[in-house]
Amino acid sequence: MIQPAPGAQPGQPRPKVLIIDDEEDLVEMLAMRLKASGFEVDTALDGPAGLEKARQRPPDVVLLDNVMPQMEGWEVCHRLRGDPRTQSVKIIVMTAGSPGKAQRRGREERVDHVVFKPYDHEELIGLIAQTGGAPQAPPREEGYHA
Amino acid sequence: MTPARPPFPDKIQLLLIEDDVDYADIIKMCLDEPDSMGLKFELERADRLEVGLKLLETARFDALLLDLSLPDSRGLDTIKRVFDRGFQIPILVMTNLGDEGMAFEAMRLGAQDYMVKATSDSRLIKRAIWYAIERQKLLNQTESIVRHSPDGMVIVDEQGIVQFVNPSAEKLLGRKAQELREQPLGFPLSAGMTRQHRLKGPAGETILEIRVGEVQWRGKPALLAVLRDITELQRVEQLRAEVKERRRLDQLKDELIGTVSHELRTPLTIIKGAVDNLREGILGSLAPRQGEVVELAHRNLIRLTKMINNLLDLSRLESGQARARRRKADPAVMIEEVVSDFEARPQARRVELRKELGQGLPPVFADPEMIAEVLVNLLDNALRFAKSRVVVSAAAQGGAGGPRSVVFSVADDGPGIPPDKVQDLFNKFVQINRAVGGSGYKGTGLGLAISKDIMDLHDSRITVDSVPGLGCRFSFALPEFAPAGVPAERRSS
Repeated sequence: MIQPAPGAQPGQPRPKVLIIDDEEDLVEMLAMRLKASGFEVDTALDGPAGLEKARQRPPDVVLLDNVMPQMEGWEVCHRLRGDPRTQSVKIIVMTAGSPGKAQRRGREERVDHVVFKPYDHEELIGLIAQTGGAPQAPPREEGYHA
Repeated sequence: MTPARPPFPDKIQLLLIEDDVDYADIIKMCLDEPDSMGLKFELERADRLEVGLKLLETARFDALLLDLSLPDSRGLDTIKRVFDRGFQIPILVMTNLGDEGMAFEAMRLGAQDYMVKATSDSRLIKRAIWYAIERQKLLNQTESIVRHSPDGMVIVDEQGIVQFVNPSAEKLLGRKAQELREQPLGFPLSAGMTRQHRLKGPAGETILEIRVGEVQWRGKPALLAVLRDITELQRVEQLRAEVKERRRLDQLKDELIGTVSHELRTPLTIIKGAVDNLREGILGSLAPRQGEVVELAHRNLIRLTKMINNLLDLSRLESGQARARRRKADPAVMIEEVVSDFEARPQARRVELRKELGQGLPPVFADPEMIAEVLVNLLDNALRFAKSRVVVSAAAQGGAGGPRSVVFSVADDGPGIPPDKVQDLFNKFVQINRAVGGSGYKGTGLGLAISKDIMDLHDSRITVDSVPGLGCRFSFALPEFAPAGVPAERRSS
């Protein structure tokens, strides 16, 4: 059954997650699950809207799609890292692209993790918890496949 | 340098076919007259054509002096009879004064020269003989070229009737010169043309390349067709084109698989998310039957995900994008990691999964993530087909001066693989119809193809030992890691 969000201790604020993805259905399903797991969830369906939300209320973790029409995810990353209000936000990029390329780009843009669609909800939640709580670490060396 | 040959042979052997004894004597006298060139002649005489022809058969002569009015043959028929018997000898015809017209006709038929019988000029006679011999030599040389040319040569006249065929053309056209001569060739020719002609023969189709040029034949314009057998060349060309096309299609297919599997990932993520939310009861708890259906969807989503991942892996491997990052890797650790992942799976619960790690396994030179994928694929298959037991093992091999390696194998006690199917195993989308153990779990048909490509990147290959009814074993070897002179990262080609 559903694990409560780590850190969601009574009396403590719940970790804030901002999902930025142009796939509305994906955002809806993911937000549903994250909320049920005890995260505080905000969503945006394009890059500029996501940046705006992140600046106004910096989240703990941004879940970011790398391919979006208006502004691609890597550009959003770049701007988040370039803004003092959001530069230390944890970023997890979600991609349907090829692993090698996404990991290289992820390293360049100083993202915390790159996950590959179709990800597993459970694993993603574990990763958000781990990222949201831990200090910023260099991107993990991903395996050949994942 | 070869020593200079004497300009003339010691003795020129002549046959005179002449019934007029007086003229024969005059010729002999003329030939015996000494001259500045020092030519020596030996003359033999026959008084009838048939006698002469017999002599030509038995002895060698340098030239023939032929009278055209003999007791047993008269006129041009005489020279025709010589040629008909196949003698290729320079011929000097002798005619009576006033018969020059016939002499010219004889030369048209192939005589080298003529003499009017009134001649008794020694120099003139000797020169005529000498010229005849030399002309014949030149002719022989040309004929030898045509006869032995590997290209077929056919001459047709202005009406398209075959006049001449060399032996190569006979062979290429599959018919004898006698059958071809004085007949239309069977396909049109025109000056300057180059074309291909397909000939159906008893041994299959032959493709001829025909090039045509203009020549003179017996004083009239004619066409020379040069024939060459290009069947083999065409076949090679065709094969080359086919290979090129196949490579293009392969590339297209790899790109397509890559694109499709990327495109499938986002909707798949959404469906997985939706099914997951239902399974987790986020939208309320499910009735037992609803739960079963959602579980079914979940199981098949895992299968679909695996398939898409496999497709993408395969397309990356086959397009050369995937690199093997070969480094020092511990065989025992690789096996233990893969096996412990499997032990948690439900399929593994119904069979015994055993590890057999040999003593003193050296580290190997390999990409551990890739090798883990190979082991996962092999184990996946083994668990699917095993009756009661799967053994994963690693053992050192070689040494004592030679290179050492580690042999990995995954063995099951399942139904085995029919020997005639082993070849197909590593092809894409092939699922050998083995009786499935008990899990009912199906594969993607890509695991072994991926594994094969990964082993290619490691300069190794997977071997299969199978005993129908008793099980099978898949093995591969990896070289020991050598700290110095480690080859650089390889790309697949």
